Amino acid sequence: MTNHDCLSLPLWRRGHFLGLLLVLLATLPLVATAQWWRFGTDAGEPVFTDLLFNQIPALDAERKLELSRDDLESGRVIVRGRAEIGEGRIGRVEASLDAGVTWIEIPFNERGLFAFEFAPELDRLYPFRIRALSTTGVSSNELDHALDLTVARFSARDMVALAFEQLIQRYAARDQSGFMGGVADDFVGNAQALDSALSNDFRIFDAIRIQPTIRRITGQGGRYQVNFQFERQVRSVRSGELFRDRATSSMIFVRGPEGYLLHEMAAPLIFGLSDAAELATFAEAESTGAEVIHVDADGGIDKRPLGAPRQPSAPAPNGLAITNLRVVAADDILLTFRFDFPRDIDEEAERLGLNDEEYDELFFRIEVLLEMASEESGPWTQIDRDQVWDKRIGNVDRAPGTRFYRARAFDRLTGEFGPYSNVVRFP
Amino acid sequence: MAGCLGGWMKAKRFQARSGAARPWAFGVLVCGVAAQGWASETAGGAEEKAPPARGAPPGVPLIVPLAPPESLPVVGADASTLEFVFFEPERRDREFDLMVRSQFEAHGTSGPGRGASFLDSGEHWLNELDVNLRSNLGNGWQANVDSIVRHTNSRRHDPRDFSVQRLRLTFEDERHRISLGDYYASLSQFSLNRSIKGVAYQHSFGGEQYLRVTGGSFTPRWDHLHSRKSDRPIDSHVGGLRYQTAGDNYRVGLNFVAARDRSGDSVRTVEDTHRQWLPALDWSYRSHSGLQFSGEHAYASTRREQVDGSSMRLRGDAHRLAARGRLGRLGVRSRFERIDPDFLTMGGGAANDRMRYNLRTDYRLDQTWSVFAAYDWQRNNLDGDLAGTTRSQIPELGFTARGLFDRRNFTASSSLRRRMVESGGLIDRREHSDRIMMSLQDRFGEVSVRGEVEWLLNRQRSPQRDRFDDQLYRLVIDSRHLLAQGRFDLRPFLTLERQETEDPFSGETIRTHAARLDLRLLAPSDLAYGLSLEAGHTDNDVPGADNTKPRRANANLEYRPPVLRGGHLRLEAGYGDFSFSDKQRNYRERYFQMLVQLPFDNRN
Repeated sequence: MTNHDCLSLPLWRRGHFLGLLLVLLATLPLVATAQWWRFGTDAGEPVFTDLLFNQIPALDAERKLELSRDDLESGRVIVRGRAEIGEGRIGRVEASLDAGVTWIEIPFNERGLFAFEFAPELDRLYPFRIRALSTTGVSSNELDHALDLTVARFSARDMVALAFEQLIQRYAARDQSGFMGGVADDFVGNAQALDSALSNDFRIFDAIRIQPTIRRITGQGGRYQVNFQFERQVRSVRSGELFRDRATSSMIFVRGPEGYLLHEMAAPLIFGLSDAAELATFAEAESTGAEVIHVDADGGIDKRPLGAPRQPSAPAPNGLAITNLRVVAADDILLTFRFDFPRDIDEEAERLGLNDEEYDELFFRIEVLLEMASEESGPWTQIDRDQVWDKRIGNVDRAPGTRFYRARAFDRLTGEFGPYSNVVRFP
Repeated sequence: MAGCLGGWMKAKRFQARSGAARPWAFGVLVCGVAAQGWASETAGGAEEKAPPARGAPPGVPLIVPLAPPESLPVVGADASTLEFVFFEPERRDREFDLMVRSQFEAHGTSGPGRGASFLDSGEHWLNELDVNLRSNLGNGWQANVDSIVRHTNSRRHDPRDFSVQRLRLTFEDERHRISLGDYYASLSQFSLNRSIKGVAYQHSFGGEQYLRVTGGSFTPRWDHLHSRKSDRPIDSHVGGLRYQTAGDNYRVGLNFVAARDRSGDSVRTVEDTHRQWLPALDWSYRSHSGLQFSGEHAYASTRREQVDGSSMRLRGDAHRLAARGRLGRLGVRSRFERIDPDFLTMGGGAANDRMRYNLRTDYRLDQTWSVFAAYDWQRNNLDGDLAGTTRSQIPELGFTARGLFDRRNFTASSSLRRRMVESGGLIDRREHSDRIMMSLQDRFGEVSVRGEVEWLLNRQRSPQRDRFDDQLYRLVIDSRHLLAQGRFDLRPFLTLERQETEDPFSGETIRTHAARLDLRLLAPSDLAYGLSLEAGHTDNDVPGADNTKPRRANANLEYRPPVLRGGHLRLEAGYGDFSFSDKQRNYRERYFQMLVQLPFDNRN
């Protein structure tokens, strides 16, 4: 099977089918109670299916649970939960704060719900254990919910700031699994899409340096928004070119078992740039128009003004200006250039509802003319022309030695030329 | 609740103690903290106290069993619990906390390519004063003033020399809360979920039932309210209210938001302006099976005034549904979202023109093995107005094994994820990318080791090459050693990394090797020493591209002398050498950083 063959199946049909199947699987639990798949082959072993420390879900916490003083309810931790069993009955629920040296019996009701409380000291570690026993004496695994519990003296805002700092450190260190440990399961831009975008980010650039300055942290109801200014530099893996930008952005954090977790990101993004359109769910208005690092669909890096949160409909001041001309690929024989152009031919065609003939007319109307010189001061010779629609000039014959390149657009209908682009020196 | 205590410093202490993060060249600047808390009442119904159990050893807090609840409360990111700031009983009627924080940085760059340096040559100051005042007004009312004032000479930190970063005044008693100034207006995801400057009032009816009313400006900076500087965003205002009612295991919120941009804003003349109203209903429910369901349904009617003078009306709706929970060994998380192309939200968060569903299930086979499957599907062009539609899918399968070979800390995990994107229309683009990841980790005494291998196999139908592969290999060694009868705590951290990336245009390979060593020594008298060394090398076979060789080093010292009463001093010096095959790009960096943080209060 060729690469193209394996891509030729109707993707949307496969998507719907697989999605429907998975949704059906997800709804099965709603109509069943204690099936084999809930308890596996150990149906006689009790399990905990809910565990809350005040408002913090801790069922899936792994070994650590860190609360802040703001998480306490009148100085107390109230633990609520549920123990269930597939076959038989729950006979006993016990909890310990000293790694199982002392167990305290906790009353529970017919549905396995229970609650207890304690008043912890700040900054002290409590090796928490909880277990349920069936009436036949089978115990749940204590290690499933063995948590080192601490209540830090710090405020929720301190913990949010720490979570923010750790995300930046892990991103700069390209520690993807560590980074995703700081992301909420219900991340609004979709955690799986963010994970996938990080994989691409780390292939596209390295030597990541981010210096944030937090402006303020505001919060309500377990959510905190961090507003910050950042100074950033990344290096393109492919070209070795350094890119640097400065802007303001925001992130929203929510409470997780081990601190605060990333829940939402604003544009401009500092994480997941290779899928920015999917991951940013709002825009930081102050950064509108700021030149920020942008990653295109081919993994090319450049700097572009951040679009308005709601796109302006006005035409660009000069509709024929070619900017940011750059070499994106080269071998011994050929060069490929990319550039920025304020008009998008396909978008215009879509907006105007052009038919094929009208589209062709628009497609061939505006050209890009590429010129080359041996010296930056000229003289310049036109060496190629192409349509602007894909903002790319490919298969340009490479001349030996160092050469200078520039481009400008030409409207065949009006005979108007655009201004010259920046000059590119290559190699 | 406790008051203003140094954010950055405490975060560093917290980090040092927990070992949760590595030392780093620059700290995050977190300014002082106002006490926040929430006096949420237990939503699980009345929990009567049973007699305390006996038998807890000294030093272990007493576990007090409570009467079992009838249901469990709804929790999670949508849980908009009340936020009231209360004094601790032993506190005075009037309290203040001040935090003075001063940071100095000196940057130096040299070499022909120094213009590309991350640092700006020269001296950079950042000074902040964080003030938190609390006063008991009587009759159960309390007042709180919370502000941060900043001075800097560096545009790396702020666009202005002098600025007010935060200013907030709150009055509250058990049922009422009035906020003025900086306020996080959190109504619901789609309607309003943003920091504003304005006023808010919240009336609690008991439990989680409340009415919240707010209004203000979206402007992110105080000086924007009176300046005409070009960096000021378009002038936007918002008003909104939320009524929430809740029972033992459900919560429902009704939201209404009206927002508008100022027409004819003289600073922002090339942007469209909008006026909108947006009602939204959000809800969550916790079933007896333990599954938690939540959702939101919103409608937005927006009038857009375009810069060419024309106007248009946009109407659209947005819906999201989510389910999550654990049923025995099976964990389920599922989410569906549909955002109309014409649904715009000025104060909420949503990516419009999207339909997406996502499902993740994990299943614990036994004490050792667990498996998971995840699937994400989305598309745009919901109303068919675009010439082409983009669809993407991300299926993923994986497993984790813990405690293999009778080693409690041994963990092996692997996953296979495919990302498929198909764009139709005028440009036919299809691509898929397979990511195969394997990770092994274990602990040998005081040394923990983690190895990761990741392959990214990309296939696409495009004018460029149709296949290119990337590989990443990473080894992380982390350890902790107590020396001199535990008086010194040494924490080395080593990362080795190799990456091979194939350039999609030329097919040439780019090989990157990187190594990083962090050493942190915690000594008596609240002293901590840090050393960080980093070296890398990139061999780039792409024609015209440079090979690069960065080297960086920094040393730092943190000290909390008792005389500063919780204050903090940090010194750091660093050096970087960045070499390229084109010598004209070479440059070097040097920097020195000093941070002093001094807290004051009236409690002692």
